[in-house]
Amino acid sequence: MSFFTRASLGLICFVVFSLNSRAEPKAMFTVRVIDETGSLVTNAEVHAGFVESIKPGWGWGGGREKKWQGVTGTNGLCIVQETCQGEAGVAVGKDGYYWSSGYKLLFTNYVGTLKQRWEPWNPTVEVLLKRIGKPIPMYAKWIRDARMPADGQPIGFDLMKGDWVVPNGRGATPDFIMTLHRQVGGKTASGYQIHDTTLTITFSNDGDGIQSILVPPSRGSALRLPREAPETGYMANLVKNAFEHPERSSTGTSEDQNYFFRVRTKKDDNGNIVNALYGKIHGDFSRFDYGSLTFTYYLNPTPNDRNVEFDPTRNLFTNLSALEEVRAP
Amino acid sequence: MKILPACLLLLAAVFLGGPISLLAQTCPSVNLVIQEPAPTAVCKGDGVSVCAEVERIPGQCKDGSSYSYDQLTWKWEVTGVDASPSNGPGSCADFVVGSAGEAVVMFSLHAVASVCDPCPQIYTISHSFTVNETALNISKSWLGIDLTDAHEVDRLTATAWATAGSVAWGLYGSAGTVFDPNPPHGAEAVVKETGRPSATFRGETVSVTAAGCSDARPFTVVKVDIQAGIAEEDEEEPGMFIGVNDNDSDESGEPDNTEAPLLSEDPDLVPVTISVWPSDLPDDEVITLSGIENCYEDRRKMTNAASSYTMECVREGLTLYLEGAAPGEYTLTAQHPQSGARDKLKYTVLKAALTPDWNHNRRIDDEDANQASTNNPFRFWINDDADDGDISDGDSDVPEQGRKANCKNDKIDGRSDLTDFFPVWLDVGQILRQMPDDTQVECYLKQADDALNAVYTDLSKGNAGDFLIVDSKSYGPSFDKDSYSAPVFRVTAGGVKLSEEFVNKIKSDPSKGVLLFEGRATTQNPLVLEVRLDGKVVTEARLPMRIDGVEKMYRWINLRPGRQRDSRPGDPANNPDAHCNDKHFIFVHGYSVSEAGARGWNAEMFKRLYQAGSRAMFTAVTWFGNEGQVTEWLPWWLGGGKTPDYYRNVVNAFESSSNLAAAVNGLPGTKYIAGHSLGNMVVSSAIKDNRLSVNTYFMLNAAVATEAYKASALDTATMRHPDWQNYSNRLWATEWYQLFDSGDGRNSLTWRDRFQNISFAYNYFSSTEDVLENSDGSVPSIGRTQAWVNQEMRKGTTLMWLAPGNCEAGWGFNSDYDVIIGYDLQTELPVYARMPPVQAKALSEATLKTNSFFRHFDNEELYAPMTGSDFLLDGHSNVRDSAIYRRLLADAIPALSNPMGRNALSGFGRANVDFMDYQRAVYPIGWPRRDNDWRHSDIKDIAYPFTFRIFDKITQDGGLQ
Repeated sequence: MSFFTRASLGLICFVVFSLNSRAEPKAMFTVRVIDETGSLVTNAEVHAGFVESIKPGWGWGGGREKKWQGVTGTNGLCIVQETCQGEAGVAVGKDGYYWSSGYKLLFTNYVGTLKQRWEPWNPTVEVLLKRIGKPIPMYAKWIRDARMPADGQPIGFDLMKGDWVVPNGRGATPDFIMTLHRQVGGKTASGYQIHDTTLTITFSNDGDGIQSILVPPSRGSALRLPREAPETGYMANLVKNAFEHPERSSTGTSEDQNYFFRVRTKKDDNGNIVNALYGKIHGDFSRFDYGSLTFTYYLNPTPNDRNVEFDPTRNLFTNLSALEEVRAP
Repeated sequence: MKILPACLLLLAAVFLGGPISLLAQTCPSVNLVIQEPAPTAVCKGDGVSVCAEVERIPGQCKDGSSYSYDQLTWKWEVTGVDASPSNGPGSCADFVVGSAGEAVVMFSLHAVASVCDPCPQIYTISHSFTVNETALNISKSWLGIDLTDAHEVDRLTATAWATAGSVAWGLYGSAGTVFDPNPPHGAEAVVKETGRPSATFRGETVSVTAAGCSDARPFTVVKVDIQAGIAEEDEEEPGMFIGVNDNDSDESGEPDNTEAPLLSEDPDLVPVTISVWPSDLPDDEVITLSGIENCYEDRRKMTNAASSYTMECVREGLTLYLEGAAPGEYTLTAQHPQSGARDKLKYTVLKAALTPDWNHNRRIDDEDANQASTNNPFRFWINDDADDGDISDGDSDVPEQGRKANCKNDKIDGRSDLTDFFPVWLDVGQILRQMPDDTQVECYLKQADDALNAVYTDLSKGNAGDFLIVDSKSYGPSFDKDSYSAPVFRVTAGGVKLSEEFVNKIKSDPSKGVLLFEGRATTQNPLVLEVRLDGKVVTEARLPMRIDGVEKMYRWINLRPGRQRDSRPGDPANNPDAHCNDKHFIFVHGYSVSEAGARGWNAEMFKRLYQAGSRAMFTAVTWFGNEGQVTEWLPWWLGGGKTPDYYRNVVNAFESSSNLAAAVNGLPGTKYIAGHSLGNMVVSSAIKDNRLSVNTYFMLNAAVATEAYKASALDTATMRHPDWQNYSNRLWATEWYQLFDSGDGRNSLTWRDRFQNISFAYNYFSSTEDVLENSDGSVPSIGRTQAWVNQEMRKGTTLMWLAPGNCEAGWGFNSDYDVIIGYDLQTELPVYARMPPVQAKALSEATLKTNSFFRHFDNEELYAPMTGSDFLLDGHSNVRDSAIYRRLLADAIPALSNPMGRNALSGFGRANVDFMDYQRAVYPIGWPRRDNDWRHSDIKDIAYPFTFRIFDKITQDGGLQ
C-alpha cells in the first residue's frame, strides 16, 4: 500500500473520528469523604480539576484546568459531572481538617454518539480527611545534597543544629551517626562509575532508633504520616545499599519510604525510657549513591512527646533558605 | 587802691632822678589789659585765642613834652597746661590746649620809647582760664550680628572721662544700635547691635559730652548671611535637607559624589550665597568659612571652597555649591572675624534611595545599594504577555500581546503574572523620621514616560521577593489584597503621590516601603522619588533604568530552516553581557513548539531564571520541532494546531544538533545548557555527536529513552508491545542491530547508549509526568497521557496509519512470515496467520538479517548483506551523520525503556532531581493542580510562585547567581 493510500485512509479515519468527537464527552464520578474514624464528612469542599491539553503549538502535556467545585451532602457524597478530556484531579478540604489532594481519575474510553460519556461512568473516589490536631513547633529541615564529610567514617548529625557535629559542622549532639562506605571500580560501557555504596545510620544511645513507614507522597492528606510516632518498634540501625554494576544498578531509595525515629534516649536503671525525643522523616534518605545525602526531617524538641504533627508556620529553625524549608505538616 | 601805684612811681622817681628831675621828666607807662572776650574755660584740644591790649600813658620829657612808648615788643607764654604752641610773639596767643588744667597765658610787653628817656620797661599781664577735658574710649570698633540660633547680641563698651561736669551720651548711625541700658548711667555706656548692619564702614558713632567737651568714636556693625533659600530662622533647625548626590548626572559611569571634577555641571549641587554688610568694608577684610568639605565654587566641582575670602570676593555676594556627599548632618559657618558676625547653615544630607533587587535574590540589601547608574541602569522588561491565573494558557506567555498585555490593565493578573514585577525599596524611612512633626511630608513617584505601574506592599526590604514565593494578603492600597490580584497604579510623568498610609508605614519601620513595579512601556528615563516638605522638594532619589521588551534581554538563535538569519546573536540591547556574570545559559525548547510558541517558552524561562537570581547571559534556541503541525486555522477537531508526526521532528532534533553546537560554541562565557522535552534530543546529540562544549547540562523532562543514556536501563516487560509478548526478543526491531558486528553501520540502529552517561548533566524528571508517564505494558490510547510511550509503541504498527509518518519496522509484523493455518472451506484459499512464537524463535540469524521478522524497513536496501551498511551510512563515514540512520532511529526502532524525563537514572550525570520534591507544597496552598501532578510542561506553565524552588535549584546547581 502506497504512502498516499495510507495517508488518505488515515485522513478519512481522522476526520470521522474528529466529527464524532466535536464536543468533549462528559465524565461523572462520586467523591466519598470520610474521616479517620470512618465517619462520613458532610459539607466538605470538593475541588475537581479537569486537565486540558496545552494549546497546540505551545508544547506538550497538560495545561490549564477546568475547575469544578461542590460540597459533600449529609451522606458524605459529592457527585461531580463535567465534560473533559478524560482526566480529573480531586482535592477535598474542610475547616479543621487538612486538605486531601492528589486524587486522580483517568477515564479510558467514551461511549455514545451524540451524548458521549466517559467510561468508567460514576466511579467512586474515597477521600480521607485528617483532622488538624495539635500542630507544634518542630525542628524541620530539608537537608539537601549534604556532602558526606568523609568516606567510611561515622559522622554525627545534630538534628537540633541541622548540621554535622564538630569538626565537620556546627552540631554538638550526634543524633544520627551516618557512615558511608563507597567502593568504586571502573566505568561501565555506558560511562557510569561502578560502585557499591552502603549508608549505615546508627545512634548514640541505647533506645534510640528508626522505623519504616510506607506512604506514597503527593496523594492523600497533607498530613502524610500519623500524628504520633510509635512508642516501640525502633531499630538500632538502618542500612541502605546503592550500587552501579554493568548490567544493574540501584539508587537504594523508594518513593513511598518514610521513617519515624527516636533520639537522645535516656533509660533508668531498669531499662525504662525516661527521656527521649521523637521525630519523623518524610521520604527516603537519597543521593547517597552520589556520595552526598538528602533527607527531610522533623524533630519534636519536647522530651517524651511523640506528637510529630508539625506547624509549618512555627519552624524552630529560622532563616532557612527556600531550598531548606519544610512546608508539609 | 589807686594811690598805691602813684606812690610807688613817686618813690621810684625820687630814688632814680632826684626830686627835681622827677618833676622834670617822667617816663611813659602803659596799662595792659586782656582783650575781651577772653575764655575762661576751654576743652582740651580746643584752639584758644587770647589777646592783650595796651593802653599807653604818656610820659613827659624834660622839655615838658609828652611822649609815649613807641617800641612795644609782645611775647606770650602759656603755662599750666600743654599748649601748642606754648609761647610766641605778639599780643594774641593762638594755641591749642593739649591738656587739661588751669592754664595761664602770660603776656609780656617790652616797652621802649625812642625819644626822651627810653624808659625801657617790661610790663606783664596774664589771663587764666580752665582747660577741661572729656575723653571717650570704646572697647571695640566692630559689632557683629550673630545670625546663628545662639543669637548672641554683640556689644561694645564706651568709657568716658571728664575733668568737669556730668557726661552726656549720644549714638548716631543707621544700624539702629542702642545703649544698654538706655540711657546709660555715668561714665560707662554699653552699645549693642540690634541686628541691623551699618550702611557704611564706620557708619556708627558713639559720643560723650561733659562740661562742654565732647568725644566720639566710630564703629561698624557687620552682618554675614548665608542664604540658602530657606527662612533665616530655619537655617539651623530644621536646617536644609539635600539628597545624597549619588546619581550620575554627568553620565560618567560613577556616582557624582565619588568623583571630582565632574564632566558637566551638576544640577544636584545646592547653591548657597554668602553676603556681607556693609558692602564697603575695606578690601582686606576677610570672611572665613568652616564646614566646607563638600562645598565648591562651581557646579562641576572644579574648585573647592576656600576657608577665607576677602571682601573683594564677597562684596557682591559669594555663591558656593553644597554637595550631599554622604548621609549625615553638616554645618556650614561663615564669619567675619573682626566683628564676630556669623551665620550658620545646617544641612542634612538625606539618603533617599530607590533600591531595586539588583541581584534579584529576593531580598534587598547592601549588595543591591548604589548599583544602578546612568551607565549601568537597572534593567527589566515590559509586562506585555497575557498571563492569567495559576497556569499558563500556552500563548499567554508570548511577549507583545498588544491590547491583551498585562500591563494594560489595572491589576496583577494572577500568580502567573508575578514574574513580570520587580520590587524597589523606597529608602526614605530615616528621612521621614527626621522631618519635623508639624510639617507635611509627601512622597511622589515620577517617571517621565509613564512607563511603570506600581503596587503597594507591606513587604520589607529583607523579604522584598516574597511576593514571588509566599501568599499573603498584604498588598494594594489597604494592604489587604493578595499579591496576585492586587491593583496597580500608574507612575506618571507629573508624579503620583504615595498614600499617607504607605508613607506612615515607612516612617514607623524604615525597612518597609517596598513597591512592586511592572514595565508598561519602553523607557530609558529613571524612576524618580521626590520627598516634599510642605510642598517643596527636599530631596529626590533616582533609579536609572531601562525598560524594554523581554526579548531585548537575551540572544536568540533560530535554527529553523531558512530562518537562521532572524537570529539575534549579538549582545542583547537591554541586558548587555557586561551587565551579566561570565556564565551563559542556553535554553532549547521541546516538541510541538511553533516559532511563536518558542517565544513564549524562551521569555518565560528567561524570566523565571532571572527571578531565581540568575545573572548569567541567556540565549534562547528555536528549532524546527513542529514540522507537520496542522494549521491553527483549522478547528481543533480537525487537528488544527496539532503536530502529529512526532517522528519527523525527532529527525529534526538530530539535524538541528550540529547547528546548535556551532552556534553555542561561539557564544561568550561558560556555557550552561538546558533542554526541555525533545529539546534534549537536540542537546544530547549536539554534545555527543557534534562536540557541543558546555559546563553543565540540565535535562528537563527529557523526552528521550532512558536506555540512550544507559544501555542496561531497560523496561522490557512494559515497553515491549503486548502483541510481541511471546516472541523472542531476538526477533524484535529493538534487537536487530545485534545481528551485525560493530563495524557494520546497522549495529548502530539502537537507542541503547546512543548518548551514554553525560557526566556534567542533571536529570530533572517528574515522577508524576503525563506525557512521559511510564508504560504499564499496554498500548496507551492516543492522547496526552503516556503520549511518549504511545509513539514508541506505535512504531511500525497499523496505528501509524492514523497519523503521518513512515510506518516501518517497529512493532509491526512481517507478513512474509505468516503461516498457513488452514483453508477457507468455501474458497479453499489458504488462511494465514502470524507465525507462532516457538516457530519464529527458530529463525536463524542469517534469515533475520535479510528478512526481519518485524515489518520491513521502507528501504529494502538495508537488508542487503554486503551493501546494507553502506546504504545506511549514506556516504558518511559516521553513521550518526546519516539522514537514513536518523530517520530509522526516529520512526523504526522503538525504545525499550521508559523516558528519562519520568525517571531517576541511577548514577547518571551529577544527579537526578525529581520536580515533585521542589513543589512549593501540595494543593491548595502549594500547587494549583488538584492531583498535585507536575506535568510535562509545568516548569513553564505552572505559575512561578509554585515552581520557584526548581529554578532556585537550577540557579544554584549552575552557580548562575
